[in-house]
Amino acid sequence: MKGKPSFRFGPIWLALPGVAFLLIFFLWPTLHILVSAIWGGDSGFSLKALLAVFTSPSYSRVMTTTFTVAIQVTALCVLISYPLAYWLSRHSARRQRLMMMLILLPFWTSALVKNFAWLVLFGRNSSFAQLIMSMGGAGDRLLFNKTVVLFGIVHTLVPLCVIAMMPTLNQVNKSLLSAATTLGASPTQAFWQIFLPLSMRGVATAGLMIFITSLGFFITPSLLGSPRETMVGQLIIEQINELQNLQQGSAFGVILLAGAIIAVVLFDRVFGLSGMAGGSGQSQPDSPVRRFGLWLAGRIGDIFDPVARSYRNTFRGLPGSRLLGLYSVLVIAILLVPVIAIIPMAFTSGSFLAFPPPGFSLRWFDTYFASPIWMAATARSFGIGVACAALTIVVAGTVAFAVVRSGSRLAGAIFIFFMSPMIVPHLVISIGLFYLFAQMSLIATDVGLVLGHSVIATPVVFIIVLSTLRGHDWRLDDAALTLGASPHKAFFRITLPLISGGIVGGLITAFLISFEELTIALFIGGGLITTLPKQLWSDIFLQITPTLAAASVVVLGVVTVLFLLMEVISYWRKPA
Amino acid sequence: MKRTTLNRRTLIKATVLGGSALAMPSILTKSGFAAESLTVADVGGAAGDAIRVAFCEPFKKETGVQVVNVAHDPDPVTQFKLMVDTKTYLWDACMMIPDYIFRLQEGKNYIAPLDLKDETGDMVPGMLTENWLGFSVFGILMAYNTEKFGDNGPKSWPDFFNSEKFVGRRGFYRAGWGSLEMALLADGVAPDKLYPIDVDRAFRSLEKIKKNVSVWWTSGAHNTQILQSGEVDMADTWSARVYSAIQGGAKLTPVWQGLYSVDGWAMPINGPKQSLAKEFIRFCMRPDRQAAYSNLVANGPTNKKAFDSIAPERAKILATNPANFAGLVPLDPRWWSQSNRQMVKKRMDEWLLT
Repeated sequence: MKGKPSFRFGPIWLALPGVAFLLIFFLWPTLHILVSAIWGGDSGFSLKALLAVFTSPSYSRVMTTTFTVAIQVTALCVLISYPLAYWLSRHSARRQRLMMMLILLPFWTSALVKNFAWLVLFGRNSSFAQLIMSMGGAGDRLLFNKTVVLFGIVHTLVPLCVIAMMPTLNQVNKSLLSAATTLGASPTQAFWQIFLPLSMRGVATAGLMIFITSLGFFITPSLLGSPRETMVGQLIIEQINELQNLQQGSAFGVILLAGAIIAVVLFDRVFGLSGMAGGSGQSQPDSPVRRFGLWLAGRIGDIFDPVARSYRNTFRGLPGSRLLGLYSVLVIAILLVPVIAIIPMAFTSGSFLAFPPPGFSLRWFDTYFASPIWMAATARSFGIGVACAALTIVVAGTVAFAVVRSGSRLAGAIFIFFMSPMIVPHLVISIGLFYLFAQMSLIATDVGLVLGHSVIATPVVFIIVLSTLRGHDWRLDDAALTLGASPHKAFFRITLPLISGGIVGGLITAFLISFEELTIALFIGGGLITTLPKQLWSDIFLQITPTLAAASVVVLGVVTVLFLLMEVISYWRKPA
Repeated sequence: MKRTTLNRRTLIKATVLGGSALAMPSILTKSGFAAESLTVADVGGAAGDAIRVAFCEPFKKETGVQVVNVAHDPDPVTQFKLMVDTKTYLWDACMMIPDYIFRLQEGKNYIAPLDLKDETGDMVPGMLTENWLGFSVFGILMAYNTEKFGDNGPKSWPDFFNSEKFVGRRGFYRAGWGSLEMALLADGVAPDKLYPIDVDRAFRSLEKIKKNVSVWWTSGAHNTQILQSGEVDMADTWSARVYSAIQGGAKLTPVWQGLYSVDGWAMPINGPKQSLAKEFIRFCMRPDRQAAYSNLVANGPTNKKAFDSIAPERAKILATNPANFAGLVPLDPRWWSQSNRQMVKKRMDEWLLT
């Protein structure tokens, strides 16, 4: 910004449409609402609501719980997902896709259904509780405590964590590991000193995403937790939706936002996702934190090396990689528990979710297929998901490209801006959008829903594509250009194939987020146009019926069939 | 400045609408509706299905007017305000309890006058006001697990709060709305002396069962689930939830002592189809329609004549059956104003967290 601006069409200009998109559909409507935290309609400027968050003992306690839970969830998710993702990264692309499909299956089941499934599976009269009790444990106290809340949230987020890590892990050049072993490192040392540091960006990205996402959880703590596990998401909904206290609700939103911004800034300081000027695959400037990290990883490698050696010498039958495989299969199995449990629950002859069901019947599938409302909601969710994925990948992808390829100082600001929709409670975004869409006649339209879902999906897709682009070796593009390829050709022949993993990951994630999103449909749909999560939500007025489980089973079936179909087609087209 | 934003907005709207093929179906369906149609919002689920069968479809048969019923949020007040504030009248009528009506008139008025008369004099008193028609009465009461207690279950709120005599896990509503009253009844307050609520006394009373409450339930489905699955041995609940659980095979006994509230219709102020919506609401006063509804959802009709078309077996479980109704007093929305609800909520949170 010095002297006369020169209108060179630099890569940063690519960010313009995406930035405009978020300015209009996110920043403006959200600010409109968040400002009410300090600017009440009747009372004028007041810090009362903001201060109440700190002065009220119950509020500050809920805040502490929220951030503690988010930190614990992040640590658990990263620790659980990393070995799994590492194991996956050593498989062929096809195997990976198959495993990823299994890992993502629980994500296709609505949060509502999954949490009610946990209520059934861990309930006082469940067989699992009986089993624990027969072993002398407190099987009748499995629910309504912090452990089960943590379990529920971690279970929900592990698939997201894995999908966010995978692109980076896959980009680590495996021949570096052989090089390390050739140079005398043991496999253990090679992992800790080479693979781990190189994959750290993916780990950090995933961790940041999990942290911010878990801040906003409300269904799990309200169904599985006791009042002690109350999280701030619940308070925001109570304040805005039940007490019509927009001011207090926004105040919570603002504090949440501040906490998440601190996390993003810390992350930026340590891992430099945004600040790298003209970043290519090279390492960033040495910071003390980074040097400490590398040193730590090296020492851990040294410590584990003898452990691994003595282990190999003692338990010859079970090599480490086998152990890792065993672990991974176990994690996938646990992820699949609710999916597998929901299937018999859907075929129940009773009128409640029960496990094991009292008898077999197809009545809930009949209800589902016979209902035009359920069918329309399912179809609409798929349609909106596809449109949302397409729109989001363009918005987030171009901006990620611009951020990576430009040396502009604006890149850092754009990064934080693009992370922000993740932090603002969806309820706040939805209400803000309602005001905006009302002026644009977009209320109760599919377009309105697509735009709203896209705002919510943008940060996650952005961060996935960004971390993929960061890991991309741009010298390959330079090489192509030097060899005479046009920029256009270089992009489509070199860049795109190499980053396709991130693009596909982004598309799937955007679709999933849209498929699961409730609040936007609640407000923007107004009940007139209904998505599947909205229909599930509306159906539980009196009780949770097995129709919800049936709907989930149908969705799982459709997704599995689509996936297998795609696999067969790709196999048939590329017989390799 | 303003002009540029407007221009940009219109431009984007044009591109979005024009560019996306997705916009087409929604435009088509909108114009596809007959001129004479209504959209009403209800609570969804089983109640939504019942409203369709008992009210919407028969109304179309008689008048040719299509009534589409859609589901609103469990608490529609925020949605309703947004709708009126932005003049986006998605719903011509909305299913609401007196509590919502009161909240939508605290400060600015959001409710249109209804101007209907109880011409036959068959309505239960208080079920038709100047801007609201109640058609479905539900009890806020307790239920216990019959398998656990047999015939010796708690018979009253003092019993529910007596954790020595009635040992067992309890469920209780986390918000305080409609449940502080139960704590007062348990402490010996006469039903007609509940309001204004003595909040200190209510919390002192709640203290007696705090340790025995294993689930502080948060939503209707949560409430039904813990009762139905035997997660708790007794809980406060709503009558329709108990009966839907009993219908599903759960062994539960409701105790008809507590409060009642009423689901009813109201219209948004300045809504475009008020005269037509009013006709629909008038239709919902009819005894035969209310009987049809009460045969599907276990809530009581507000037109006393409706009991003529309800089987005695069914009538036994409905809130407005005189035998049941005697044990209930109306929940007073005037006490549950925004400031009081905020105060109770905060106090409840603090009490639960310490």
